Amino acid sequence: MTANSRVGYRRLPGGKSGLLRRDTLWLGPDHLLHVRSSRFSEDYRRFYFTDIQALVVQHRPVGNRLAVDWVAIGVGVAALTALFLAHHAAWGTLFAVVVAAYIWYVLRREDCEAWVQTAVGTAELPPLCRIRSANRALALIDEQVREAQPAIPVAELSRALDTPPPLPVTVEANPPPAPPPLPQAVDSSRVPSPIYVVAFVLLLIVGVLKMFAALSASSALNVVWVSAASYFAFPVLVILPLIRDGTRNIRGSRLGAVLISMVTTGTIGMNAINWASSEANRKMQTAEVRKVYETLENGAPLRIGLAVILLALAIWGLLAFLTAPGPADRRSDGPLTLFGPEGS
Amino acid sequence: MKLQSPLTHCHVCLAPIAYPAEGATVQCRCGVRARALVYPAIFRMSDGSIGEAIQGDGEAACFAHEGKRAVAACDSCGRFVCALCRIAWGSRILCPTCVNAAEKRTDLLTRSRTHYDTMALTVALGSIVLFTISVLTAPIAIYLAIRALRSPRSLVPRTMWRAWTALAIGTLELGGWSWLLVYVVMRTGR
Repeated sequence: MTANSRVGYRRLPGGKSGLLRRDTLWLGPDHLLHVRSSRFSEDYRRFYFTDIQALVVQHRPVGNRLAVDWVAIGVGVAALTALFLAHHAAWGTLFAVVVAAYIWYVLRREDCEAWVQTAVGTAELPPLCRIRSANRALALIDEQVREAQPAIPVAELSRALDTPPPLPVTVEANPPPAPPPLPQAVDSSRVPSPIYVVAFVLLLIVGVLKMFAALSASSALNVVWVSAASYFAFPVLVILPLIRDGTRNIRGSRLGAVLISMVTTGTIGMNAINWASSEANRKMQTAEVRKVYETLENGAPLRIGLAVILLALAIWGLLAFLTAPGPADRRSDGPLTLFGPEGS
Repeated sequence: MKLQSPLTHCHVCLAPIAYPAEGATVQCRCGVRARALVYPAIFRMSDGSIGEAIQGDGEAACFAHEGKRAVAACDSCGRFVCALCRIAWGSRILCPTCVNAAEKRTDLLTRSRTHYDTMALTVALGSIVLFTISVLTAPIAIYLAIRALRSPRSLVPRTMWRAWTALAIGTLELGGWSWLLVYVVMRTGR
């Protein structure tokens, strides 16, 4: 321990940046350093290689990411189509903005979480929030930890994972009586709320009406409120509940995300076609060109397709929420120990 | 609500996960993939020892606790320490006094640092935008920049361009105000 000793740190791949906060990981000679920087200061947390019991990386669900991918592709394609049809700078600008925003999102999106466990407890490592950088960083950390700790056969480690080590020795001869058990926590996020069911029933009605309108080739059923409901109420009724629940507690969330994206893409595409059609009618005089747009606008396959997707989304939503496991299906968590709930 | 340890439970559905010790990727029933690297330290748990009482006259006592039996000597100051006072720091054994004294002298115990250079640069850049108050903020920026240059730096590599830039801006602003003052005085004197 020398005065003003400087430790040589090596920056590890990964990092998490926010508006006012930045998390980075550094490899020291005998420890891992987590640096949490705010604007005007930084805090340090050290994990010595000899103390690290385990490093855990868990992927995040792909549901939300998939939805963003599909929506970006849909909006991009719709903007590009509108650009070619209408030759208006606004569509080009929209396309450029969508592409730039999507690239920014892809470069920054987080797809995993990582933790380090020591004898004291478990700490999250926020800088390791992307799989590729997390794997590279873990390889470097793993090398150092294995050098710092004596080698033990894999079978021994497996036994440690199967049977948690004993709790610390009780010092007092007469330990105090155990506190009364905590009441069973009810996770309300897994209980389907009636509002969701009502929302999906309404969506089902909208889908049925649109299907009738498409099949009958009549605009009598394609009334304004139906379109308004499907275009504008749909995000409020469906996407917000999904975001609130984080899609993690909903069965088949990937399918739901794909359906939502398809409906979003479809509605945007239909609107783009309608707009292009009206522009063509206004500007172009050629009867053949007008006919092409009118065919596109009134084409039954597009409307039927959109109605089918809308119905599928409504049925998925109803099934997902109605079959979601309630609190009774959940296992008892029991008292919390270092290795999770007792008896797990 | 993450109550369970990530080493034993999925962070998404909270279901138990059985990790293989060789570090292979496993898939939870909710579809989330995960991987754990397990090390021999998992066998080492705290023994909860608080130090034993002295049994006979021939035993050394802890420097801080007279009634407790010494189990080691501090590698820094040589004082005897009991099991409660013994602090394992890497490969060395230290007493609490040495750890406390060392906290300000070594990077190995520092828990936080203040970025005076960022503060200085912020004040300096702010005074460019609001030039009229720079007569007040320029000295502050210079003070903060000098403090940044004299204070212990960040533990991790960090250049000092912010401090130097703030110093330059602050000096220029002060120079400008000085010139203006001299100019006004000379004009008034004529």
